[in-house]
Amino acid sequence: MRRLYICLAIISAVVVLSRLSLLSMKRSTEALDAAALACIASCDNDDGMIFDRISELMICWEDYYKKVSVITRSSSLEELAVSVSRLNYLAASNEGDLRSELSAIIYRADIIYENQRPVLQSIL
Amino acid sequence: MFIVFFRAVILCIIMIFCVRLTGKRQLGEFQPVDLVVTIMLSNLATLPIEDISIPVAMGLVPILTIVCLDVFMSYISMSSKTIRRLISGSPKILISGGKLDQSVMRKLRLTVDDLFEALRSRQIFDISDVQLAIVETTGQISVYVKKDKAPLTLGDVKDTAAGGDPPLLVIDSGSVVKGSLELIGCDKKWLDSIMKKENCRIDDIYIMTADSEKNYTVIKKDGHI
Repeated sequence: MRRLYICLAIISAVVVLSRLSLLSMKRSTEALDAAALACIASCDNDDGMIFDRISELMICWEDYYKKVSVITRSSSLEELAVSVSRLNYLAASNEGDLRSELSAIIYRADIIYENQRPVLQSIL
Repeated sequence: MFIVFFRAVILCIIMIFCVRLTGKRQLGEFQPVDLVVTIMLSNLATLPIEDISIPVAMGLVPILTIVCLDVFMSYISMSSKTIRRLISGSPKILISGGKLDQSVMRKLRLTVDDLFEALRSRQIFDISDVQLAIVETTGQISVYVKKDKAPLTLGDVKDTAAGGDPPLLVIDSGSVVKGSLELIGCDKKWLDSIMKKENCRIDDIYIMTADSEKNYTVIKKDGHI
């Protein structure tokens, strides 16, 4: 029976860790999304705060990457990293691609989170 | 993590189903569950080692899940005969009293070569010498030779009476194995008389074996699973 209890403890630990990692990922994704939305708003309003907003997004991104890379290392995460690295250049060159790149960041972060949710579509 | 966890559970169940589907002849010495666990673990353990893009946690979750499922299944099998049959299958009588059951051969997809190979490995070259041959859930063939064809033992010197069937499992974890009871030519009445003699109920018996000469062995439950 001792072996059964050990296995129950392991399975419980796996389920709890899975739930916690999902929660942590959700928080990080929401923070990244909020930072990206703040950048888009700054772009739209043209308030001259875009570099500050991008710096804030970078801080959120570092925190996001640290947490998410432990859970998953998908190609979407690599694409997200490329998108984030381009933001400063796009803001400096004043090209219209900045807004679309920020939208892509939100979209990719959401896709990564959705792929980790235990729904039938993701499992299969 | 949930994705890896659920995928490991689904794959393990599908693998067991597939191994059960392939039948006993594929197994050799493993039970179906053991074979599945061994195959899956041997692959899973190497993946995170070879591919550094896979986080270690993602490699550990399916390994731990499968090992735990294996332990759970063994406990469930212990407590339920139906589930035990579902997961591991049941032994099949291939030869009884020197007569080969061809329907069992077809059912298990055993060839004559397979059968003779198993018999020859036990120094048996004539099917009629076999009193009972059973294909176990592991795929191995257990053979009981007719007493007049079996090598002489000290027991035979003491009791030279011509032999009958080998002892069969009559009570398994408190439940009567009706097929075995019929095979040894006994009935419930005889079993009740033994219970009376042993001063216990059928529920109290862990294992009881008996042969056609009414010799029996009783092992009572010790109160632990």
